[in-house]
Amino acid sequence: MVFLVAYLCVFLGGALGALSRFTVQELFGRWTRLPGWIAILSVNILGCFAIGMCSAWLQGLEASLQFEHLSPLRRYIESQTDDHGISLLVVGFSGAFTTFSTFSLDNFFLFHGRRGWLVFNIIFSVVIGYLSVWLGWTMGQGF
Amino acid sequence: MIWLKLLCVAAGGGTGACLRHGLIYLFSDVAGWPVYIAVMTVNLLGCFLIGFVFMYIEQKYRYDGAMRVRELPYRNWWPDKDPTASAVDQFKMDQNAELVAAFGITGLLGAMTTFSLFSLLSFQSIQSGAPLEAVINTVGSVLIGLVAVALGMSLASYRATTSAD
Repeated sequence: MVFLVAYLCVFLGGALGALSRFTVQELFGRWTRLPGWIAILSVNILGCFAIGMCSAWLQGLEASLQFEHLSPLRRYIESQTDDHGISLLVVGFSGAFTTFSTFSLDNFFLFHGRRGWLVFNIIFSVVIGYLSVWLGWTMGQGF
Repeated sequence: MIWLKLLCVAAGGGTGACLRHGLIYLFSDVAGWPVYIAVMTVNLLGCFLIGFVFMYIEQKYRYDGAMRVRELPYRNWWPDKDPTASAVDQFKMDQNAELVAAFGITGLLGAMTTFSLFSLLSFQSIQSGAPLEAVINTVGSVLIGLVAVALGMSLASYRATTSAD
């Protein structure tokens, strides 16, 4: 039963995350004249911030409840515990809000078109992605 | 139409997230791989599939190379607009293409692959004093992801040129 509820949470979070990403992408196309990969770039960075913040927040919640001191995500994935906050917010929403496949598809097109922007996209995504995970992590520990 | 599209995105997103979660569980817990390798494998699988599905949709539904491909300098890859298709057929075809792309690319594959777990696991590797893991994860994911997209695309092109549908 716990198993089913966890997958239901992942499904709900995933549907919400994909809808949000689709909305951001469409609004980017409608309101700005920037190319499509900029939308994916900003979605990925926002999602990195969200995952850092949510996992730090949930970890702090667990630590305050005197559970074992280990990353809840790692433990969740390795043992599929019944932590529905993680499955909804971290694995479902943040995981589905960001995307790696569209990032790679954009990289492929940039590789054939504009290689300068390809280098910019990769380095900016990776470096700013790590930094925003760190920022979200630090901010999430305050809650 | 917009509601149908949103429904497709939501259904695909939920399915993709569940699929990712199950695959990560399978790779990391049943097969015993490290978690970052499991996430990387799922991401690379999604990259390959997105290349295949993108090219498949372009070749099956699109005749004018609209959508993302518009921005590309090599858009002459795509065949010209079919002169026998009427405007109505073209419109229906475009709508079908948008729905399939909303379900498959934006929803299913977009949610199956994830950038945030990738960043979080690399960040945790750096934090726990294993930067080599982060380097393997980053360089491997980005470079093999590019190759995987190219492979998927060429496989779809090959399929389209050899089969007669």
